[in-house]
Amino acid sequence: MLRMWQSVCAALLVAMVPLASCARAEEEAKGLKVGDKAAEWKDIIGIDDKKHSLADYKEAKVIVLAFICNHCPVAVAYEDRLVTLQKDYKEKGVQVIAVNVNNLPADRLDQMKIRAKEKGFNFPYLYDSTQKIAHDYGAKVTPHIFVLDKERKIAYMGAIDDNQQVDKVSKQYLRDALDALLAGKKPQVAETKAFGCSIKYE
Amino acid sequence: MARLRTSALAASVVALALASGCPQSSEDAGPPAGRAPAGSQPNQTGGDSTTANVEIEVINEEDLQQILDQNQGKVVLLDFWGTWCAPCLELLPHTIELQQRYGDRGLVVIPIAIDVEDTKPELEDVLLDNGYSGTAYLSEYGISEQSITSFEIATGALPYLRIHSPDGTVAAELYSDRQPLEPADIEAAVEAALP
Repeated sequence: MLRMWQSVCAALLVAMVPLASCARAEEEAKGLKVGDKAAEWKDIIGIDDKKHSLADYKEAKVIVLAFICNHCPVAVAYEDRLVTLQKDYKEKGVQVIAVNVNNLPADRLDQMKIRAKEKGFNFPYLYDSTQKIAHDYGAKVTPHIFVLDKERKIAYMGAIDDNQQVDKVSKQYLRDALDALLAGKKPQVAETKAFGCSIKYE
Repeated sequence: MARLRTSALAASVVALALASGCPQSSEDAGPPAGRAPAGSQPNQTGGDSTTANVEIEVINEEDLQQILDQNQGKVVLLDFWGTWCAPCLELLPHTIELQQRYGDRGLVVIPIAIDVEDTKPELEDVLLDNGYSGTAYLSEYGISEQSITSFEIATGALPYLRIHSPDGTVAAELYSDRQPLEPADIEAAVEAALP
């Protein structure tokens, strides 16, 4: 079914009809909710040029899946915060995994490698050009966070904190959620509104 | 044949990428439309102004409700944008232009920036360059969760526009979903909402 739609879309694209008119029936899925089993992903390429699957991280107590990208100023404003968070929580068994699904030139793998080096990313940064992982989770913006607990269920989803400007932050949603999970509890606030640039779905 | 298909594909992808590209600096905000002719001042009830000027007022959701109350009887198009949101900057001149074309049918276009307070001068410049004149607004909450929830920006992402009917109720919400939001989408929704 998917293949048929892909060739229909390709044909329409050649005829210069906007890609917008190719609504694919598969895209009815709205993504995951708190409590859902996390969607598996397999063999997504990382900036280390290796393939990454969710199963590779089964040792991690908690996974922070962060949808980010290079170009969005909101996502960029949160890069340092993610690096600091990974540093602070590494010993406690939290694994940050960043993923970009935008196919804009500024966001592609070669650019991701440069940004990761510049900012000292201490976590994997993956590139899913099929955008499947973003569809599966229901990621809407960058940055958009999905926290997976020990059982790989969604324990928290939404924003990292409540303000793009670091000095105006009053609620540390992600840290609070991680602290709760590490203490064997459910996050008090399990879902917040993620804000940022919309993910460039195709 | 294969080569034509590939370059057509490549051209389309590039065009799409550019059209839906995210934030650049505001210098890239599209061709300046020049100063607006007198009459495109949604917040003045009549009269002419020979000086085009933009003033940004910082507001919260209560202020917005007051603005909507003051504009009862009109169709109000709220355009939530920011200097950091390139798709918003591309839509802005088109949205502002709707004021000129539909103002006499009762349309009021109100730009509301979700941005940091420091950018106020830049916001004013961008609006002026895009043909806006009069009062425009800036969220008092910055780029934050509070802005999103207080102004009920459903998607958490910009661009986001909302049309209020003459009785104040919401007629339509406009945002990029699977495909980028286009000026034509906004115009169609405005047409549909006008009496």
